[in-house]
Amino acid sequence: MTVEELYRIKQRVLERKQEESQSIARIVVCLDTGGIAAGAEEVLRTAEEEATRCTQPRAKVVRTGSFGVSSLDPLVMVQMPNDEPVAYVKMTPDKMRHVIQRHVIEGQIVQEYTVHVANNIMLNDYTVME
Amino acid sequence: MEDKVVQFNIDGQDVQVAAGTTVLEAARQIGVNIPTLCYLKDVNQPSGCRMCLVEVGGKLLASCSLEAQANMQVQTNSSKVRDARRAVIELLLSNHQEECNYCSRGGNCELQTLASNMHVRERRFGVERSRSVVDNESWSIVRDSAKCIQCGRCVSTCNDIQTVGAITMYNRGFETVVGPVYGRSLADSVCINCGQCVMACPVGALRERESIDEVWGAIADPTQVVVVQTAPAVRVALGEEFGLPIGTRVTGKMAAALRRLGFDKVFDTDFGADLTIMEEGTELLHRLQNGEHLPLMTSCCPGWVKFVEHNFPDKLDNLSTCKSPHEMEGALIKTYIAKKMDVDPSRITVVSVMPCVGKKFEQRRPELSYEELSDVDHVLTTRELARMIKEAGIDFVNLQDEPFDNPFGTSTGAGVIFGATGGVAEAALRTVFELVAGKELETIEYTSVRGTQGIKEAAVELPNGQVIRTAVVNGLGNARKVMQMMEKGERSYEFIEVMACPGGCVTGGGQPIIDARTRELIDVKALRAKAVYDEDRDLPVRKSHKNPDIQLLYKEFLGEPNSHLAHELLHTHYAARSLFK
Amino acid sequence: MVTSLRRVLVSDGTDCKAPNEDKKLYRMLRREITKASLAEDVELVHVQCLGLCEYEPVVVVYPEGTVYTHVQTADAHEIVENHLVQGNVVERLSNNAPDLNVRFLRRIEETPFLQGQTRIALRNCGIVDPEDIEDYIANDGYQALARALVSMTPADVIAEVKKSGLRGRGGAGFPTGLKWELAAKEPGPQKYIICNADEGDPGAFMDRSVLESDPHSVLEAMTIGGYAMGANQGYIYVRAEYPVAVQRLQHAIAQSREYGLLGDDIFGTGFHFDIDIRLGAGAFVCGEETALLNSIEGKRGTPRPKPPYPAVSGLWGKPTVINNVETYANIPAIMLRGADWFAQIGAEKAKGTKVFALTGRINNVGLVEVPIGTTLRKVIYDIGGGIPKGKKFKAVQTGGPSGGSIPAECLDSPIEYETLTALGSMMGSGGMIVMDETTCMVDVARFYLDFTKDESCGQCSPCRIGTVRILEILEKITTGNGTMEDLENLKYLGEQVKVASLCGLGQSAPNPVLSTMRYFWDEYVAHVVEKRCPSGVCKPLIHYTIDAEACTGCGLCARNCASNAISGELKQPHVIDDDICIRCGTCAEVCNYDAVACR
Repeated sequence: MTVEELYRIKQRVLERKQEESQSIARIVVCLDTGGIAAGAEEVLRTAEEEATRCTQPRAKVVRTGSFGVSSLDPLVMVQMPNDEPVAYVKMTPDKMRHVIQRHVIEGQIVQEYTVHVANNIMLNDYTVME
Repeated sequence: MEDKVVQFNIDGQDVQVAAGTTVLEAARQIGVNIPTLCYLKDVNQPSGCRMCLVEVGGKLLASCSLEAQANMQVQTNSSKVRDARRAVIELLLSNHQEECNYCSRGGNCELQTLASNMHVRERRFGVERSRSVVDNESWSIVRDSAKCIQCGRCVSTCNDIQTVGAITMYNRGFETVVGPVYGRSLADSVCINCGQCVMACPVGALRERESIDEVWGAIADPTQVVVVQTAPAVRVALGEEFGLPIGTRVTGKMAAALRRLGFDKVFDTDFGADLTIMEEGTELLHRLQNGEHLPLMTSCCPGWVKFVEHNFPDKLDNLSTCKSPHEMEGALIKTYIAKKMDVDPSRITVVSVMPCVGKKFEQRRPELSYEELSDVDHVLTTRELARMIKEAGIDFVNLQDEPFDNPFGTSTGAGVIFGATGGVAEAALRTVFELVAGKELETIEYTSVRGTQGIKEAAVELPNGQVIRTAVVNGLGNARKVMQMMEKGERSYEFIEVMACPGGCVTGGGQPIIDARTRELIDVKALRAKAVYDEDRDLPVRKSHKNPDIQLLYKEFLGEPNSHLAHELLHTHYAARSLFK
Repeated sequence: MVTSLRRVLVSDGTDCKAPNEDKKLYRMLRREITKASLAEDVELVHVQCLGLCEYEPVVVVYPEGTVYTHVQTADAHEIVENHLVQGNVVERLSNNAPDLNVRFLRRIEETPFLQGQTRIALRNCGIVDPEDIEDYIANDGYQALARALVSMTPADVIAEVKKSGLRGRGGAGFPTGLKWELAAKEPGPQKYIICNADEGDPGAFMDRSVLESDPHSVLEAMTIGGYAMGANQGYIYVRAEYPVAVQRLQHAIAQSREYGLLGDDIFGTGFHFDIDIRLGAGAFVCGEETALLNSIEGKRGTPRPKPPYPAVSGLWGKPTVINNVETYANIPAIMLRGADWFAQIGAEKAKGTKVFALTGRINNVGLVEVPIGTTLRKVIYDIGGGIPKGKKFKAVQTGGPSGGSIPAECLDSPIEYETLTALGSMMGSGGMIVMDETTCMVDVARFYLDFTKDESCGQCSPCRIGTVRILEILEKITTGNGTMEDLENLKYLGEQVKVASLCGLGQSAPNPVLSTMRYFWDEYVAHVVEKRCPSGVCKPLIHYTIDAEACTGCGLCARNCASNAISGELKQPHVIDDDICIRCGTCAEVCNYDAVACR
């Protein structure tokens, strides 16, 4: 590996990502021990299954590490072509299916699953009472 | 770091030491003995007990591992230091089975001394104790973990010095226990019973298994004739238990005390040593002639024998088939002496006083017996004999010298030097040389094999031109090294003497226990060994084959060395032992 | 398959402030929804405090995300009728808290939690795929290494790291550049560089996140460090309890080797460097650097006395640099953006940022990376979102079992190495556990000593025995058997264990005790003198009593008492026998008249 090759790899990957971002929807699932403990692996599997149904646009499922926002795990980010990503929090397989259907296939952000803040408080992380 | 000499300050005094000297060592120069517990020079230095803390720049550091630096300001007696040391003693005592009055180390315990010096007057802490494991299955050594202070001196000795590896520390933290792996007993491990762990232990967590009650019982039994024999190394150390200087010769007092204790006959194991030389010297000559099973390895040390059985089973044929001196003597007592005294052998009890705890195990070997009677019935360590003498209220120091009983009381200088490392080799050489030469020779001191260093080599040329390349080893770590060198082909010998205990029997596992600090300052081995060689010099006869009672024994009873009867009574065999069952 | 058409959250303070309200609002909404035949289409969820305590009772309606505040039981009908049935927001209730700014966020970076952070060590976490080296390269990965190997000498690299002011992030805070320099000065040729990934502090997961989310940054940094100090072999000592981290590291190392970024002749400069993984085996003490060295050497994990320091005599006696994961994570950023950039961030004596694992009684749990010198208040309230359920902040434990508890009056202290040490705690590796009024500080000390005592290696007497004795005294106190003399003994033992122990574990083990005694002395005294636990945690010290005036003698409590500790005649005030009571709290739960008090 020479330094030039290093730069070439960087260029190549950035170009590919640039191209993809214009035509393919990116579904990013954040996976680390904390997320896995919260169920991120099932969410990932669901995303991979459901992504095959997407044709207009096609969808690609990508994994990254974690942002460390433990109270909102599992975290999934959906980025439609030529658009900014949307962060969905406290995901479950059901919600994942819903998001792929509504957001990726039908083009509608599922606002309910995004971060809901009131001043500094994130309302997404609540405990259900019996 | 480039300086050869470091100048610094202890307690306001300027001190100059060689670079690399620790603060602990440097402090001695100005008369400050910083207290230590886990520190055993050249053996164990984990800096773990925290007794040797000194204050440097407001911080407390362990002086045993602190190298002196230029201009360092050290305080050995600030209130911070004293408070910390007291806290350490309080904590150690809080986890220690305090039965000083019942403990075998009462009065000779390093923890007791420190506690007394720190004048700790109350017990403030301590509810839970770490796990208590009392292991008294071994015939030689008893482990009592409730007294263990986790200094690690025994573990370092067993693993690094002796390379036996019988004990280790298992579990962690407060739950740590010192012992064989898998929680086994010493009897169930590769322990070879050298007892060096007992010598290393500052407290009573490791001690010998006592046979005093059994011996009193035999003496009191009117049906039994109780015969005692004493090893060469005992007579140069026994006096220390009564306050005499290290290495004082107390042979005559010892014999006198033994008589007063009630033994019917007081014999000298040195006679057995002379016997061993006759048998082993002949054995060596045979092997030299046949060129078989060389090198001949001595077999008088039971620790070494068990070590070979565990670790070098393919070399068992190299061991001499001779029993050890006291076993030979025991066998003869129950045959030759029994006949002479007209006593049924089953009514004779043989007690050996040894500098060794390994002999307690050795005595129990079933093959060391004749016609179902064990050659030796009980083994007492030097320490146990001292206890019996004190128990009987005998004023040992002021006893008049008395001689041993005959016929097993006559011995030569060659016999007595068995107590020092190199003694067996030298004794053997004195006899073998003359047997081959066929005449008397002037030189009888082979100083090349004397001295306390671990491995000594000498090549002695016999009059017939044959060269006996001799290795004299003390300490099993060195023995292992020699075995490995031989296996790799780096060395060849005809004769190897091995003593398991570093320094030889004079510092064996049954000898008086000297505290760590004294051992640093005084070369105990050298002092006791010198006493042994002095005994040799003062004896009229100095070659085993010249011992008139030995000559009589062969004439009247055994015939000649390695005869059939000699083989039955005085020789033995060995068996391989696995490392782990 | 899909969630209900509507989801309605009700937080009516049932669990904290108004026990007598008895879920009235929730019940009313349920009735109204059923009446409107919407039970199938609306999911009604009764939740614990959402953190909007001043605005309670609160009702949130999804998917719109409408937040209704100060909702009365009588409003239930209007909400159901207008909003759920007809789809019209009830403005009266959604606008009656003008200072409440409610909104949906689009990007995760917009969350108040992340907004307040400055991410350097965590710069790639959540952004790159840890299992794809090319993704790392696309994010400027390995460019720092290229620059260091091709255009800089080892001395240049060391100078840059020294200029940045980076201090070790594992807890000791030793200047990293200086450590590399000391090791570089030692003669070779065999030297080692090690990454301490043992992260043993309970509640700390900063290192875990870096290893799992950005393993290549550690590999790159170790290679740079090896170049700077003259080592060709690196080891990552990672605790076996992190299987995902281990697997990702193994994968990253394999990929690095494949791409020629580890191994022989990296970037054609003639520099060889490789990294191997060594697994820990469950001992906290092996996070101490010299015990770590012994562990790698195959010995018992017991620390060595220092000096000599590892930079001079380390792994197998060779010069060794040991740094923490987070320290390494900063290196590529420093090399790429420059030491001056890094030195601008942070405080005067400690540059850059620090990652904290914010956990405990806090609304927003997770990883917080802020410039050193940020105040505790900012981290806990602005970023952490404050204490849930409307409880009051009591203390924050920094530095794990080696650290101390910092009380409310110190909340405006900047988080810096020396400041925290002066407060009786320490920076440590970054664990930050928040405690509220329901935490008993004596119990906290007991918890930490229980941990340290277990993890002591046993080599030195003060720690091996001292931690047990300290724990025994704390257990005496928390079971109601403590005396004032015990408190004196605690102080004595704590001080002595601190100064006499061989390694950092023992030296810092008493910190939780000493710091809680310093700031919460009254709590200790209450335990010992009054035999009372003010926070209601130490079971033997809490007492349940029945208020004779409020008690109606219905007998419900007696019938439900698991240990038959309550006696009384019908319609007469009942009494709890304190000796028999097992403190389960059932009587307080079932009493309809609020007559059972717990002190």
